[in-house]
Amino acid sequence: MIVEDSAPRSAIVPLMEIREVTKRFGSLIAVDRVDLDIHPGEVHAILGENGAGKTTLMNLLAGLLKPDSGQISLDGSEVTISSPRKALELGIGIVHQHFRLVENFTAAENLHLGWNETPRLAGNKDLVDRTHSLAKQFDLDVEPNARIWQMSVGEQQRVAILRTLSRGARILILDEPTAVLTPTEADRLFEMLRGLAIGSNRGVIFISHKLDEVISVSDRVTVLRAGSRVSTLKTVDCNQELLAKMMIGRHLNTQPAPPSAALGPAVLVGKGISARNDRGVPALEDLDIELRSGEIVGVAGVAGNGQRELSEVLTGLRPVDSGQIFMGDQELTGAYPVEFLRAGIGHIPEDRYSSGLVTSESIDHNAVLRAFRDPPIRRGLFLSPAAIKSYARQLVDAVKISIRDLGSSVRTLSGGNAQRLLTGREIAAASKALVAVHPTRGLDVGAAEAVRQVLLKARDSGVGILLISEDLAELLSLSDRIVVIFQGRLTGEFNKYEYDVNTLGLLMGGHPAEIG
Amino acid sequence: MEINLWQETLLQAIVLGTPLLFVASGELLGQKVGVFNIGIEGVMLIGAVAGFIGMHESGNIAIGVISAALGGALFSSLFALATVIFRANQVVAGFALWLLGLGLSSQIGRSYTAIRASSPIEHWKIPLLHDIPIFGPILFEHLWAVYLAFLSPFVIWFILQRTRHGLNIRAIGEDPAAADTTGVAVTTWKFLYVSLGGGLVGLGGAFLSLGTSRTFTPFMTSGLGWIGLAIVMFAGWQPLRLILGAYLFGGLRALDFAAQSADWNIPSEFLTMLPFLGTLLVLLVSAWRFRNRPGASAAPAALGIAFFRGG
Ligand SMILES: Nc1ncnc2c1ncn2[C@@H]1O[C@H](COP(=O)(O)OP(=O)(O)OP(=O)(O)O)[C@@H](O)[C@H]1O
Ligand SMILES: [Mg+2]
Repeated sequence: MIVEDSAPRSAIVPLMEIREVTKRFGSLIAVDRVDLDIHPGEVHAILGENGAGKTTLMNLLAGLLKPDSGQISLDGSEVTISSPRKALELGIGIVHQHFRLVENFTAAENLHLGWNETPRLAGNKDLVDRTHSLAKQFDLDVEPNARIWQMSVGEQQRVAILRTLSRGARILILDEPTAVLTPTEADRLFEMLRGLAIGSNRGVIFISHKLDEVISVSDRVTVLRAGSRVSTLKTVDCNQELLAKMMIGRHLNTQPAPPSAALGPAVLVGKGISARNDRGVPALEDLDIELRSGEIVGVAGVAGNGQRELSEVLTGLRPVDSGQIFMGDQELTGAYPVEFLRAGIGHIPEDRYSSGLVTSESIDHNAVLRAFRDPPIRRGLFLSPAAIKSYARQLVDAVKISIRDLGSSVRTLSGGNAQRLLTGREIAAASKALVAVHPTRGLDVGAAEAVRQVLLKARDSGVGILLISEDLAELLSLSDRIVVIFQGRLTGEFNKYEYDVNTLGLLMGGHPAEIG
Repeated sequence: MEINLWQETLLQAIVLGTPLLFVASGELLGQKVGVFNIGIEGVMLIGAVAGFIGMHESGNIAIGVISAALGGALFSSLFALATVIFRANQVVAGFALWLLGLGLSSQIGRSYTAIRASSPIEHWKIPLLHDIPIFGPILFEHLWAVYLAFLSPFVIWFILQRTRHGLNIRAIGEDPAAADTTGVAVTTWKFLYVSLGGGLVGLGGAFLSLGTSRTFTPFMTSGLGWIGLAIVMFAGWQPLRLILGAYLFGGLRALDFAAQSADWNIPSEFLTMLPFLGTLLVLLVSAWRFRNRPGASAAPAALGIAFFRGG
């Protein structure tokens, strides 16, 4: 039974009350008459499928979008959040899905950007000193002089959170903060969030797809579905099944996938690969990997141990310092990415926006990025607009995104729908092998399951899949074989049903485990 | 005081570098907020003609100089309207601005072409300093606008690197979405800085019509605006290096004149080409510095890209 949370309203004055807020994009109602209260001292989770309107709702609170109707009140009085600046003045701070930090700036510069408490005259030294003391005040580990592009994602997130808190945010909004974090970093974040909320007059709004996180970190949870609020519950009254059901209206499949039926010959093979990362530091060292037709090989590892470089090397995006890459008998070492594509290798990259999709281009153009070189889309020297449209339509239908206008730009898609588009396109391109990096990151439970089914189907049709993921549960359920990557080397290999989670965990952490 | 050919060449380096310094400073202001204006040659001409008319009609050089700055700023605000507000392609709009500036300045300056400036920009001898042997006459006996041009990169540097406002401005050129999120008024500042930069470019034009030539001739800028663009790149988008770039480009032109008057055997084309070769070299060196970061460079990261909120 679902009990609607009815906190004694008279006792607590909510920090923020949202009433009947609605936002339309053309004919689509992204947020539909949503009510929401945020209490002081609580961590409030927002849960919902891809495209449910979570980010849109938060953008309304952050002043990035204006509601079409409805009221927002703070401390009991109605406010108009006309701009991001106004939101900050009111004490609403958002840490975005993409942090919106200036890559070329230092932590100190980012922290002081657009802040009216930054001294009018302030050289770099002043900014660095102030950053040190703010980091101390909120007990966050931030290196003031490091530039954002040099930082790990977890470090970047700390800068973004420190920035928001320093500006006196009483309502801290985090949009899918854990999607990009390693499990340890995520635990650290939760601890921090609880510390920030408990006993304070701050409220934390936390968006996630991960049911276990929501259960472990939040006090209350609001479920959105297709723009409307389904319910708001006390977390103690919830369990994962109940939340999943409310979110998607059906139970989720947690069974391990059936093993590979027909293991074929080796397809994608890397021998003795060494390569460097973007900063010129060795990221892969003498690594051997073999992917056979019809299997899924999972790569387990803590983020930053060479996963990204491995995926780029195997798809031709990153040069190797030494070693060889083969597709069947064909050597691809040093070949252009397009030759990897021609050889039948698809790639779902880690960052869908900077390397997977062209956000300023239309959905249909993004859909044909892999296929436009060949008929029927290419007709002699020209591209056929009709063929582009029909190819895109098929793709979009296959991955179950409902889109009315294929000509609108990819930036209008929700994060999850963008990921589906990318996944569909790459699976279509991968006739022999697919390198998939975090293919279900940012997807809700239902969509993630759909992507997994697509991967399994591709495997059963003979594609070899290299699955790089930080989601251990996903790896365990999908993989026919799991290898562990640590500091650019493969440190362990397990066959299906032979792995044990503790050994995996130890290897991922760099401990030489006894494999027996 | 007698000055020899070398002194004269160095002196001319500064004089010829000055309009370049104005133009490059103005262009840099726009580029720092992410707007690439290739049409500054046109803005310069508008400044030259507006300054001349202002001076001629009022008989007052201050009004002339102010008209030049205002003319340049207003004309550039057209460009800002197109690129910042309506998000037109910056290259296309800049090209249009150039052609419009060429035509418009010749048209409105038509009846002023055969006139000498009645109250031009004056020379200022800096007391004491101009008595220093050898260097005094080279450095401290210039048209007053020379000193103004010299100061502007310092002012820009100070604002960008030492103030809160400058931090916000730099962020607009690097990542407007990030700046917007923190509450920086991206569109407003872009518009203002492009226009303000246009004002400086206009001064560069007026330096010719009111300072060195003291007359307005159609197309009198003869490509200086384009060199201004090259100087911004040469300087690696760092304000203080604009000074080096402008005087270097100016110096090579001065050397060219000297070579011709002294009958040295250096082809003029070679000297004209050198600064551009230098610019290419600087770009290569800078690309080498960024070789490990695909897509990164010394330029503001969002240079040339229109800003959409929520994009
Ligand atoms: N700027 C926009 N223009 C048009 N439609 C938009 C725009 N932004 C979002 N939408 C649409 O609004 C709906 C809600 O999107 P939103 O990004 O809020 O979803 P979400 O719940 O955050 O999903 P996800 O979990 O995938 O991030 C989606 O259907 C999306 O396509
Ligand atoms: Mg979202």
